[in-house]
Amino acid sequence: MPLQTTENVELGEIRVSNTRNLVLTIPNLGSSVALMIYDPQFKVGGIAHILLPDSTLDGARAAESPGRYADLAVPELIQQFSEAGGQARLSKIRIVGGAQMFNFGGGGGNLLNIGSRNATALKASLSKLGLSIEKADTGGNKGKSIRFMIATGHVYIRQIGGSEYLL
Amino acid sequence: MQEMQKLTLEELTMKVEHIPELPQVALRVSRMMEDPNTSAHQLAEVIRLDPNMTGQVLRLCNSAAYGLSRKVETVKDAVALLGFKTLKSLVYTVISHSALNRNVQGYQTDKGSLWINSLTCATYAKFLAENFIDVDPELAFTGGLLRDIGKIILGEYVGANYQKIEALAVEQQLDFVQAEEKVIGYSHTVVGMEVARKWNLPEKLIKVIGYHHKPSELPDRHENPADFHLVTTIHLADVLTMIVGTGMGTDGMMYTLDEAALRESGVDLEDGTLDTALSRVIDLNETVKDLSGAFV
Repeated sequence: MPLQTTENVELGEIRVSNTRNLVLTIPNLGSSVALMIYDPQFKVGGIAHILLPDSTLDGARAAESPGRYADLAVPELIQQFSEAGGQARLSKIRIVGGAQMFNFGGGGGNLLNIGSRNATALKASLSKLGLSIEKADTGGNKGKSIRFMIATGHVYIRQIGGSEYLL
Repeated sequence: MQEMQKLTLEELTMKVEHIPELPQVALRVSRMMEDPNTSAHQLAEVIRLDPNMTGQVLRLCNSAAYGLSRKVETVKDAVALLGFKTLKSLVYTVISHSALNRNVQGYQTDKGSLWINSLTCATYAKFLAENFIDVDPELAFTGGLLRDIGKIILGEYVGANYQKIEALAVEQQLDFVQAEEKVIGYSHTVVGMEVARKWNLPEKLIKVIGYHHKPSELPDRHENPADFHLVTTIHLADVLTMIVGTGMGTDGMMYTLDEAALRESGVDLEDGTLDTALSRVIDLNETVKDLSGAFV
């Protein structure tokens, strides 16, 4: 059994792999969302680390970094995943992240609900492709880190300061 | 775990006294920068007297973060190429690194995460100052670096009382700072102001440290609007840093947005400006890596 290799997935990055010993991690999820897809038959995994729901607000960046925006990241991830041999419709899709600040009085404009806007936009983009989320661990007011194992598709989550659990 | 008692004024005073003094060079540079008669030459001479500071400042200048086309070999060159204010913020970067690059128990789980978090906030604050709120970008950078300095003292109390603080915040709809104050007796912002006073930091930075979670509570905000806008800039940079998540601590996102302060500083919360700002600050994460990589 080869030793595990761990690699970070930066904000806006999309990664697809079938390397068995690879573990993809995001050490700090705030309001950003990690979207993961895993084909248990062909053992292909894909992940996108998304920060914003909508690319139309910043056309210049959207062209360079589609992975930052839910509306572009989802089709891009699914395309790369399919090209790598993953069967999207037979795969498990999970999302983690999307935490928010306290908002006791309501209001606060769009900035305060960015976490939930991200999750909503992801679901909408997946739904356009006929896909849906199997498991989600989103919301709350704390940061999380995740480890996504390409060998098994398991996603381990740790709330900052807490202990790790399996999604 | 045995519960730690509240932090008393005596303990706080003692702990602040035990914080190491700032290096002489930092104090002198800080004072010189407040004096309009200081020349670039004088500044370079003072930095040059401290070999450690000189080495770190030159490494920072030569990092990709500043994108200089040629290698800077002397502090004098650095002042000429980057200017006075940038040099000052580099001196503060070196100071902050030694203060914050440690395992801050209670708030953090990894050594260095508060440092990277602070460097991120500083870099975002400078960006906001250049693009959204009209304040001195280098001052904004320094404020972002030092905003959470109080955590290095309060951490052990937060660690011991964490469950209580969190429960109180949720039950009584308090942000983490207010809950800290109720449970421990002092918040990291108040403790931070004491550290800043001990270090003789300029008043503007003391205000940033004390009010960065709630700029609209700054007592002299009407008399000193420039200071208020500075504090608001750091507040917004702090919020963006939380959203992005870099180096986030156990206090997580248990804070509130000071909408009134942002409006007063001319930031529109409804028109998508902040989404755009967020989209752009991600570009700066490379700069943060370059700056942190300059420390060996």
